[in-house]
Amino acid sequence: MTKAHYREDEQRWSRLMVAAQSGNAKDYEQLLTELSAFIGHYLRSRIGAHQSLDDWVQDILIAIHQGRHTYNPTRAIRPWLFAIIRHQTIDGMRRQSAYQKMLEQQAEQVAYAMNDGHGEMKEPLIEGYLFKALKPQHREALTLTKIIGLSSKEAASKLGISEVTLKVRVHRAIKQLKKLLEAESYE
Amino acid sequence: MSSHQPLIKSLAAEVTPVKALMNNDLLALLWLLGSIVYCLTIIHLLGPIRSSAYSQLIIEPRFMLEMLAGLTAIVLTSVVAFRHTVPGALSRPVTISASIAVLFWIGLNIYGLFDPAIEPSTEGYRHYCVYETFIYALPPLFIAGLLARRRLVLELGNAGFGLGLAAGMIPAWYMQMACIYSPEHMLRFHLLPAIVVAGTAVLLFKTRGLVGVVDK
Repeated sequence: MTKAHYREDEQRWSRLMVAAQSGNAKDYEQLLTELSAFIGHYLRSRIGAHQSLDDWVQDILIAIHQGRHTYNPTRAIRPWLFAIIRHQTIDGMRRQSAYQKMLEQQAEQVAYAMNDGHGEMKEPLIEGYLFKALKPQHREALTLTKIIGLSSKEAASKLGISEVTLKVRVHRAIKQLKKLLEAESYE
Repeated sequence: MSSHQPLIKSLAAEVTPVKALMNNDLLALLWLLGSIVYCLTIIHLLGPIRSSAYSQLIIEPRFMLEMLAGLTAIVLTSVVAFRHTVPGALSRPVTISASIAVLFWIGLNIYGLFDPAIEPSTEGYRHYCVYETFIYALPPLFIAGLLARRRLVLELGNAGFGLGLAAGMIPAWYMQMACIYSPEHMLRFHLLPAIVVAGTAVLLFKTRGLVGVVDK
C-alpha cells in the first residue's frame, strides 16, 4: 500500500465514521463494508485462514459499532481501529482456547467414566456428529439457547458476549447445520 | 456479497446519532479535582490533622518534594487510567512517565526509611488511617467506574488497576499531611491500602461489577 492510499483510506474512513456518529446509515454501511474487507484481509495475512476468522471479523464489527462514540474525529482512525482489532482477536483466541480446554476435560471425563465400568454412560447433551462439526462458538450458542433453553440475554451473559453476537452465532450455527444436513442426504 | 453483509446491514439499520465524548485528559483532571476536594474535605471533617504539616511543607524542601512527587504520580496515573477507557488513546511515553512517577514517589518513601525528610513523630496520629485510606478511595473509584461505563474499555484489568490506583493514592497522599509523619507508616498504612484498592478495582472491572462494557 502506497502512502497516498494509506492517507486516502484514513481520511475516507474518518469522514465516514463522523457521518456514522451523526446517524448516517448509508455512510456507516459503506464504512463497515470497507472495514470488514480490510479486517478480513489483515487477519488472514497475519494468522492465516483460521476457522474462526469470520467470527472474529464479526466480533470486531460489533465492537466498532458499540464503541463508535469513542472515536475522536480530530485524531487518526487507525490507532483506534487497530486497538479494537487486536483486542477482539486476542480475546476471541483466548475464549476459543478456554472452550477447547473445557471440551478436552469433558472428553477425558467421559473416557474415565467409560473405563471405570460404572455402567452405561449417560448420553452427552449433544452427541450428533453434525453438531460436532459446528464451530465451537456456534455449537456453544446453539446448545445454550436451543438445547438448554436459555434466553438470548442469559446465554449472552453466560458467554460474556453481546446479545447481537449471540444471535448472529445462533443464526450462523443453524445455517451451517442446515447445510450439513442437506449435504448428508446425498450420501 | 460478503458473508458479513447481513450483520453490517442490521448494524447500519440501528445506527443512531451519538454524542461526542469529552476529552480524556480533561475528564481525568475533572475527576481528579473532584476526588481531591472530596478526600480533603472528608479527611478534615473526620479526624485530626497534623498541626505542623503546613509549616513543614514550607520549611522542609524534601517533604515538599515528596508531596509534589505524590501529586504528579496521581495526576499521571489518572490520565493513563482514563486513556484506557478509549481504544488507541494511550501512548507509551505517558504510561512510562506515570510508572516512573509512581515508582519515584514510592522510592522517596523507601529512601525516607533510612533518611526521613522530616523528623518522624506521632503528632496527628489517626487510629484508623489504614481503613480510612481504603474507604475514602471507594467513592472516587465508583464514580470513575460510572464514567468508564460510557466509554469502551477493552483492557478491563489495566483500566481497573489504573483507576483504582489513582483513587487509592489520593487519600494516601493527603494522609501524609493529615496523619503522623513516618515513612514506614506511610508505606504500610497509606500506600499499601492504595494498592489494595487497585487490586479490588481489577476484580470489580474484570467481573464487570463496576463497568458494564463492552456491551454499552
